Amino acid sequence: MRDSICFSINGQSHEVKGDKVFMTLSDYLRYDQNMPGTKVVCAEGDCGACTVLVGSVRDLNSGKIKYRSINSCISFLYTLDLHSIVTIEGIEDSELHPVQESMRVNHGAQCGYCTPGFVCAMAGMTDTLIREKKPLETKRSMNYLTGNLCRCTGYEPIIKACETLDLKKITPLYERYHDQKMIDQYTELSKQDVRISTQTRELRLPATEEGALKIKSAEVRITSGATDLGVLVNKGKLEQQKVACFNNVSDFYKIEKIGREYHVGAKVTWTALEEAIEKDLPEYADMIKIFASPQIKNQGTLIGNIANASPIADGIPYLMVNDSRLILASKNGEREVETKNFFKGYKQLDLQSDEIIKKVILPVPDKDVWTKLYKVSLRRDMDISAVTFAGTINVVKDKINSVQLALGGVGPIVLRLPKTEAALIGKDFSREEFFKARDILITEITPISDIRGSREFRLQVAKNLLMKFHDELAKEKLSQEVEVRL
Amino acid sequence: MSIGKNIAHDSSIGHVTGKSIFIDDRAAIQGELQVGVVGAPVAAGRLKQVNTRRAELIPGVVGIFTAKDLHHNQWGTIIKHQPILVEDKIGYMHEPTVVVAAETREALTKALRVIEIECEEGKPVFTIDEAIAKEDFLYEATPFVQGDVEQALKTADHRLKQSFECGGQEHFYLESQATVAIPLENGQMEIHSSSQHPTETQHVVAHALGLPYHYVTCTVKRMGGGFGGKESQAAPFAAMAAMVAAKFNRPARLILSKDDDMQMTGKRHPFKNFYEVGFTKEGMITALKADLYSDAGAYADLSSSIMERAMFHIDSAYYVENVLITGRCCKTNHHSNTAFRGFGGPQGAITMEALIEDIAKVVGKDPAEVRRLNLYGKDVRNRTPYGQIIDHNPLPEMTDRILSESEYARLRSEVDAFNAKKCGKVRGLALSYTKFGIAFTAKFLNQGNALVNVHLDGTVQASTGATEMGQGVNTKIQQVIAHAFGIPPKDVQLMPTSTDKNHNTSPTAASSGSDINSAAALMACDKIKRRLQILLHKFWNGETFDDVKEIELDFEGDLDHIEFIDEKIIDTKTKKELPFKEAITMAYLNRISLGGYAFFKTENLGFDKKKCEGRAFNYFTNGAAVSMVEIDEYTGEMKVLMTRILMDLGRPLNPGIDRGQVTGAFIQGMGWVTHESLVYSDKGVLLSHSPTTYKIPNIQDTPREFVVDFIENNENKQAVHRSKAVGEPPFLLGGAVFCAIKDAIGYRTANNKISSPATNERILMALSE
Repeated sequence: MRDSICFSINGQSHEVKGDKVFMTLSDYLRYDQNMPGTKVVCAEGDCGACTVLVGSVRDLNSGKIKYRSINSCISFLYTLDLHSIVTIEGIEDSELHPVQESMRVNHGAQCGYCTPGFVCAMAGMTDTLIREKKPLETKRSMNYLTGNLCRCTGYEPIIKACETLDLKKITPLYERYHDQKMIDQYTELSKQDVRISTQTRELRLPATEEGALKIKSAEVRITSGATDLGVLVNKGKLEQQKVACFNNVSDFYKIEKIGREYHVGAKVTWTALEEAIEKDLPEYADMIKIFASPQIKNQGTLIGNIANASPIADGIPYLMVNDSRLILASKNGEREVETKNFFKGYKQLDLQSDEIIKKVILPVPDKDVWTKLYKVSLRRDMDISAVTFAGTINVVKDKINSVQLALGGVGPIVLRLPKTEAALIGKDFSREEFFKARDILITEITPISDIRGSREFRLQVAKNLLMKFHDELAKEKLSQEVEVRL
Repeated sequence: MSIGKNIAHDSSIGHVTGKSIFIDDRAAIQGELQVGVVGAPVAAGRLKQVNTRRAELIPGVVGIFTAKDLHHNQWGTIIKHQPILVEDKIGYMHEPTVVVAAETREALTKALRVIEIECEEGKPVFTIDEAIAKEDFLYEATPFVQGDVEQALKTADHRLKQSFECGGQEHFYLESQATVAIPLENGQMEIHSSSQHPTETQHVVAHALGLPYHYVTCTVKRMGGGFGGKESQAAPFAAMAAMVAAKFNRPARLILSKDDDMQMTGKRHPFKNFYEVGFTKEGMITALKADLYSDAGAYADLSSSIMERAMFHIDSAYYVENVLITGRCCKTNHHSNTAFRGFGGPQGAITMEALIEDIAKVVGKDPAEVRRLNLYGKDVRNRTPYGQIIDHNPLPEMTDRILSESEYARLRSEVDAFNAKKCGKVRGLALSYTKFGIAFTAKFLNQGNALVNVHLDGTVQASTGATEMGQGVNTKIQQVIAHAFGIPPKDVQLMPTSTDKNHNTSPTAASSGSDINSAAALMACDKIKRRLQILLHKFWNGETFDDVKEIELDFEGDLDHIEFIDEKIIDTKTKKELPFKEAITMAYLNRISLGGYAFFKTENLGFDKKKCEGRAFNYFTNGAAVSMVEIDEYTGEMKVLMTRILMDLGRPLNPGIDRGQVTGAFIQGMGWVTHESLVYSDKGVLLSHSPTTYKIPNIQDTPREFVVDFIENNENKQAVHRSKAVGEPPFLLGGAVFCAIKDAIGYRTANNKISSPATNERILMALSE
C-alpha cells in the first residue's frame, strides 16, 4: 500500500502526498512548481492552452513511453500516478525543438498565449507520427490540433508550421526522455494499491480488478478520465471528497476482439477505441473523430461517457442500435445488460450501488447491415451536439427487413424510436416511406429549447436526419439517384 | 535593410518556449493578495445589501469591499458615468459589485461563491426594439446627409425597405483581464495590466484611489490578445486590484476566470439597421436612407465613436450619391458593449454587403456584377457619404484581379450546376470588400510619442505608447528603428509600454498602433541621427574636439548624404565611413545626447463634426475576398470551401506579420458571421460564457482552400515607409462568407433572408421557410 503518488515532469521525479494529489496538473505546475509556461484559459478542457504530454509506464511501445496530449487543467494529479509528463518547459533541448522553430519562423504565434499548448500538441503529434511511421499530412496534422484554439492567427500560419516540418530531423521525446530506471521503478510501484486519506478527503487507486470491485460506487466518486469531473470541480459545482480511480488497473485497459465482438474495458480511451475499431466499425470510428479533441479522447473513455449518461453524449446513440451489451461487475459477480435498456431516465442507470461498468461488448455488424451516425452541432468539431442520430438498417430486396433508430438531444435520455421503426419495417426502402415515417418520429421525441438549439430546430433536424439516413444509403449502397427535397 | 523583411515576431522565442511572461505568470511577490470580483445577480434594479458573513468566516479571507471603499467610483472613456463597482443602480447582470481579497487562490475561490448580494429587481431592457420603443438612447449621432435622398428614392426604379441585424461578439482574448498592483512608497502605485490603454488605466486607477496621476505608473509588457476588449475595459479591473493593494499596502493580483470575464465584460455591439434603398433597373444604387441602432449596453463606454464608425462604413466600398444616415446607441441592460476589431465598421459594411445581395436578387444579376457597378471609381464617383474624396482607389483593379484569379465566372457556373443536382447540399459564392478608414475619428487621439535610447555598445532600447497584443507592432517598430540606424533588428529591443516613459498615449487601437508609434520612433531616431551626422560631418572635415574645445551641434545644412547602412555610418560623397558603434562611443565621449524623444501627430485630418464632412481618415486600407461555401440542407451545417483574399497594404513593413493579421482577422470575421453566437437567458444571464458554449473558429473551420495575396502599392505617403495599417480592415472580409451563405440560401428559397450570425440553426430555418 502506498500513501503517495509518483510521476516525472521533464525527467524530474515528483512524489506527492496528502491534499495536493487532488490539485489539477496545471495548478501544480503554475502555482506549486513555478512553471508558468503552461497556460490556463477556460479551465474546462475546451481550448487546449494547458496542453501537456503524458505517457504511462503501463502503456509502452517497444519499451518506450507513448506520449499523448491531454488538458492539464482538468487532469488531477492522482490520474497521473506513474506517468511521465513533458510540459512546454521540457520541449526544447539545447536548442529549440523543430516544431518550436517552425512555429517561430512561420508566425505561428502572435499573442503567444495559446502557443505553449499548440507546441506541446504538435510535439506530441510528431512523436506519434514517428512512432507509428506515418507521414505528415496537412489533414492529419489539423486533426491533431483540433483541441487547440487560437484567436489571433486564423490557424493558417500554424498549419503552415506543421506542413514545413521534417519528421526525419526530429528526435522524438520518447527517446530524449527515456529512463529505464524510472520505468522499472514505476512498474514495480504499479503493483501496490494507493490510499491517501486527509482530514477531508480520501483517494483510492486500486492496483487490481479485485481491489476495484471492493469499492462501492454509492460511497465514492469513481472517476475515469475525469474529463467531466474536472470541469465540475473547476467550476465549483462539485467538491472531491471520496474518490476512486481505476487508472492503475491494467486489465481495464484491454480491448479485445473475441469472435465478431469487441470487448472494450472500462479504461479504454476514445483514442484507443478509435484505432482498434477503425476497420470493423468505420462509422463509429468516424463519429469518434469529431467526437472531441485529441486531448479529451486521450483522457476520456467510452465507459465514462456511458456512465455519465448525458442525453447528448455522442458515444451513446450507436450503442442503442447495434445490440451492444454492458458487463456490470461487483464483488458478487457479473451480469450483462443490453445498452438500450441501461438508461432508465435522466442520469438514471440500471446500475447497483456496488456495481461498476466493467466492459462494453460491441458486435461487428453483418455486411448487409448498413449504419449511419450523425452529429449536429453549432460548430462541427469539438462542440457538444444539439442532436445526434444513429441508425442501422437491413434491406432485403428493396424491403426494410429490420431497422434500429436512436436520437440524442431530443429527450431526457438518448431515445430509441420504436414506433418509427415499426412503421418502417416491411415497407419499401423508399423516400416516400421515410417521408411518411417523419411524422411518426416527431411524436416520439420531446426536444426542448436550450443554448444548443430551439425546439423547432431540433424537430426539423430530427426529421431531416431520417431523410438523410435514407438518401445517403440509397446513393451509397444502391447507387440510386436521389433528388433531395425536404 | 530591415524594412519589408519577413522577420519573426520579437517575442517569438519566448512564445514558443513558454517563457514569455503574462500577468499571471509573474512570480508571486512576498505578501501578495489574491483579488476576485462578484457580479450583480440581476440585470436591472437596485443594490440593497451585501451579505459577507459566510465569506468572512473562510480562513484566509482578508477583506471584502464595495463601491464605498473607492475614493472615486465613476469611470468612462467618453462619458464618466460607469461605476467601477455597483453603488446603487444595477446596469447589467454580473456587473462588478463586490471585491474580495484573500491570502490564497483557494480561499478566494471559496469566498467568491458565498457572497450574497441582495437586490431590488427592476424591469430590464434587453433588445434594440424595446429601447427604440422607449426612445432610450445613450447617444444620437449627427446624421450624414448628401444630395436629396427623398427625391432620389421617389424616382428610383426599385426600392427596398427592410432591416438587417447582426449579433455581438465575444473578444475571446485568451488571457482574461488581469492586473498586478504593487504599492510603492508614499502611496504611489505600480500597475502591471493586460491593457491596450495604459494611460487610461493609469488615470482610472488614480481617480479611484484619489491620487494625482504622477503617483501611478501603468506598465504593459504584452497582452495575451486584446482585439479591442482591453481598450477601455482593463482599467476598472486594475482599479479594483489597486484599491486592495492600497488598503493593505500589499501587492494584489486580480485574474478573472474566463467565465467571469465573459459575463462581466462588454463585447462587439449588436446592430439593427433599418434602411430604404433606391436603385436602377441595372442595380445601381441611387439613394440610401439608413437608421443604425446599436445595443450599447448599460453604459456609454466607446459606443458613440463605434456608432460613428459604423456610419462611416455603411458605404462598404460603394458610391451612393444621395444619402441620409442616422445612428443611435440604445441603452439596454446588457454588459456595456465596447471596442472590438473594426469598431462598428463591420456592422455598417456588412449591412451594405448583404443589401447588395438583395439588390442582385431583385434585378436578376450576379451580385458580383452589381458590386462592380456600384464600386467607388478612381476619379469619378469617389465621394463618400461624409464628403471625403477617396484618392488612389485601387479597388477597381483589385476587383478585376480577384475575379480573374479566383476564376469567379467558372465557379459561378459550377455552383449553378452543382445546385441544380439537388443532392442534399447547396453551395453559394460571393465577393465582398473592405475599405477601412485609417485614423481615430476622435482627432485628438491621432498623436503619439516615442523614446529611443542608444547604448554605448550600439544597441538600442525603445519605448513607445504602442502596446503589444500579438499584432507585432513592436516588431515593426523594431524594424523601423533598425532600418533608421542601419543595424540588425536584434540590436533593437522594444521595452514594456509604461506611462512613466510615454505619457498621454492613445490606446493601441484603430489599427493605428504601427502608423503612429513607428512614426514617432522614426522621428526620435532622426534626432539622434542628426547629431551623429553633424558630429561625423565635422570630424571628417577635420574639426577636432577635445576636453578644451567642445563640439557645437550648430550645423544646419543638409546631411542626407551621411547614411546609416550595414552597421556603419557612411559619407556617400567622400566614401568615408565609421562603424556605428565607434560613432556612438565618439558621441558619448564628446557629450552628445544618444537619446531621442519625439512627438508625432497625424497630419491632414479635418472632419467637420457639425457638418459631418471632410477628411475623417488619413487613408484607406483596401481588400477584396471571394468565398465559396457549402451547406448541408439536412442540418444547416456550413463549411467554407474556398476563400481568396487580395489586400492592399501599401508596402508592408513586415509581410509575414501582415499576412498573419489578414488570416487572423478574416477568420475572426468569419466567426462573427457564422457560429459565434451569444445566448442569454430571459434574466439576462450570458449562457454562452466559455468555449464549451461559445464557439470561436476551430482549426477545422478554416477554408479548405485559403489563398492570401497582396497587391503592390507604393503610393501611400501618409504612413511610415509607405506602409498601411492592417489590424482591423481584413476583419470585414468575413462578410464574403456571410454573403456566400445568403447566395446559397437564395438558390433554394424565394428570398435569401438571414441575419448574422448565420448559425446552422438559422440556415436550416431559412431553408425550411
